[in-house]
Amino acid sequence: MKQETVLRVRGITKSFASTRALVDVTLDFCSGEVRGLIGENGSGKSTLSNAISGQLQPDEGTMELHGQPYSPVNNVDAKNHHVCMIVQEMGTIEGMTVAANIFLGKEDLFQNGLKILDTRRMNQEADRILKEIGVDYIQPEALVDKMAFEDRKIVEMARAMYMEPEILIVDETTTALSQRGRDILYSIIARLRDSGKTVIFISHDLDEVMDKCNSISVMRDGHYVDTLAVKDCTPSQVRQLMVGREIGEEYYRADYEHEYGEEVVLECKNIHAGILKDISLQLHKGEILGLAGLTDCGIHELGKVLFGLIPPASGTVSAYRDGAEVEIKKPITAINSKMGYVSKNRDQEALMLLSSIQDNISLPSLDMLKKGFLIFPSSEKELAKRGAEQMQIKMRGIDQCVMYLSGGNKQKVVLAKWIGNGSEVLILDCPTRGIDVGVKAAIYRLMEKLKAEGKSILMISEELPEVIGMSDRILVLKDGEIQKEFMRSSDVTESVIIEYMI
Amino acid sequence: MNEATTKKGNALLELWSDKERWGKLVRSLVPFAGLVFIIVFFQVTTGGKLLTVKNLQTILNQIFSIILGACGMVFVISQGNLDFSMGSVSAVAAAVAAMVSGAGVAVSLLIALLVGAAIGTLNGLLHVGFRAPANIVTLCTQFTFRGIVQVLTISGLIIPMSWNWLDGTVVKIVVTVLLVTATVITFSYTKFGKYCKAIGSGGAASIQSGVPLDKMKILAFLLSGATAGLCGFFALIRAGSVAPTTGTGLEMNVLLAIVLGGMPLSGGASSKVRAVILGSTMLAFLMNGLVIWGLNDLVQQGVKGAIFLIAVALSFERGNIAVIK
Repeated sequence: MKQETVLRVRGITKSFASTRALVDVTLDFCSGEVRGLIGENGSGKSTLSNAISGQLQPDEGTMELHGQPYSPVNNVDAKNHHVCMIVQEMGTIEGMTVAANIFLGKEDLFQNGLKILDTRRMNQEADRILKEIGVDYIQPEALVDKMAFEDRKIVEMARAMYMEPEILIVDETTTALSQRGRDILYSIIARLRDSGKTVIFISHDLDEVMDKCNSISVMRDGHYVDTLAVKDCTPSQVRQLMVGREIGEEYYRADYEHEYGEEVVLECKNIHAGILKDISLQLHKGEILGLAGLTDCGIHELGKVLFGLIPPASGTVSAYRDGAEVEIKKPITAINSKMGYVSKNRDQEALMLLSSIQDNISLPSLDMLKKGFLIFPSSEKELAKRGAEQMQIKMRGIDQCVMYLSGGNKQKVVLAKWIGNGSEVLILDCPTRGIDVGVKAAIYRLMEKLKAEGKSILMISEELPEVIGMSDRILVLKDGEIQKEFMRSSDVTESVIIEYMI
Repeated sequence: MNEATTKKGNALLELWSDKERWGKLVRSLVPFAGLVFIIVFFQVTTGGKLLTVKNLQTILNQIFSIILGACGMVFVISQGNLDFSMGSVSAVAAAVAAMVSGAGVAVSLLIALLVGAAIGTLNGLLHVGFRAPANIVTLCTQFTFRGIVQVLTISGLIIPMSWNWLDGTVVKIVVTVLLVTATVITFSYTKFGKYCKAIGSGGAASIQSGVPLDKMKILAFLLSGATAGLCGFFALIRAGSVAPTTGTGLEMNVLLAIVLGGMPLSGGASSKVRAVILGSTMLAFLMNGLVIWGLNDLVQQGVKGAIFLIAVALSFERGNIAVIK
């Protein structure tokens, strides 16, 4: 098929207060291509896609769609031009059925002569669309409230497909999806590509982008850097363009040794909780233990159980410190046993967004700072500053509010909280989720450093490359049960692990 | 080119941070400016009747009753909760304190504090135990305990005339200074105070950092109840008896004072104990000025309501919406 330019972006500039999110961005998108859009956090890729999808209006610059001037005033306007977007966050409305969500704003199509909504016909149509994208397990009349995040995303995909998009923007959607959800999305993308439409694919996962896209456009600090054809470039080339400097080859661990102490520091026995069935595991001193599995297989719940956040229906969790056993039933016992927990939901669970960096870092360590019953601000500041420096948090000052930090810096604050507390055992739930390459590498280096200091890490992750790249030992979970254990070696590959996940 | 843009970016960043810092400073000065404005405004419009020795004493009495309650309530509010039961709790505490007045003034005071603390604990337990919103729980207990006061005061409760000395200015100043000092220390220099702010800033995050959420919430209501008991005791001393209407409107005065003092009702990071002192003083001057103007009670209520609305709108943290929702 002959490729022609569908969308021209010319000199787009957008500022928020004094932050310049986009600076004079000019690029073209062609028909029948899947274009990866990548860059670090704050590089402007989301701002660009929001401008294309009409969610915000650029300060300067113009766009052309099929040769016609295109300046959408909002996302409905964009949709009428067949430009659709699937977003990172929740985009469905609770209290409504699947079908109602798919046809949101299009209810007129299903009115009968009396202007009453013909629900039956709407459900039939929804069912047809869902089947068309290869989904047969979602009922059109079901309420979205009780549906899993992933299934809701699929409803959004169905909605986008119903609009018959000329341009579909997929913004960081796959991070939250399991393999099944991803496969559905990938097949949608492939179908659009083959029928000559354009897909703009935004993801942090470079491997995924290289795998699914024809070409990659790189953004950095609000500027458009370059567009590369996937077949002509290597991941390290792209990374270098994203960061603007050489990161080096050592992204994950360089060694293939599974080395760790004999001493058990954390253990759970016969845990039953929710989906989890009879889970027993041991974490050793100086070990990085990877927990891999699909989103809803119980890995995230297990992390919470181990930190005392979810009480198990049966079974025990024990921490060992200097030979003494402590049963973990509450987070405070876990913290007192020098454990730390980094939640997958950073903004909702791990941080107090409106509080200062200092308040966030010092919160779990207040007991340590007490002199009598008093805590002096100076000692709090000292602890927070030390943590922030160790994690190299980019900030204007320790009293800066956490809310407006970038995702990577926010994660550094969360980690600084536990480093400051002197945690010996860290439970990291998706520690690099939604984080750019630079900070990702910094977190991997930190994990190696902690391991070398004899600290233990339980890493829960849906990203297989990092689980393989960092763990001494990997446990694979499926439907709440441990399926398989892998020791670190160069033979462990993604495809080997996936077999036990699905 | 690249270096130039970076430089430009840095300059912008600095300008922005300065702007932010100025904004912070200006916002923190607003309550002070408000206090000065209120004093000057009423001093002028009442023809100098506001700042006389005799009137200042009246104002001191008003500050006193508000500030005691605010010292307890500030912990509840910093957690993002509200205690609407304060007035009724103070009345029940006053009634019980009057009943045991035969045992002496010390016992009576202690009982008032204990009754207040007990009811506060009950509020906290109901809130935590049933996972019911605290404002609804305390709204219910407000009515319940108002009913109980009605029953308790049927026989008419009075206290010995000899306790009158406690209504003196010196006693009030000493009590205020002690309580405010204790509140400032607890709020800014102890784990409990910091945990309160953390809870208001983010429940899940504080739990994951080891904050015993339920315990802290109950403790905050206990303190709020105890200070309500203290308010009740001093209301009893001043009036010499307890009436079914003792303490009505206390909670709204306290809430209004704290909001006027510059603390958002959503609590959290920007909670300031300073709001207690500033706000109580501001509100006392304001109420007194309205009285000197000769406004009737109900009109005063109306004015207070309007001011409350404006103060809440001004102090509301818009950034919080995303967090609360």
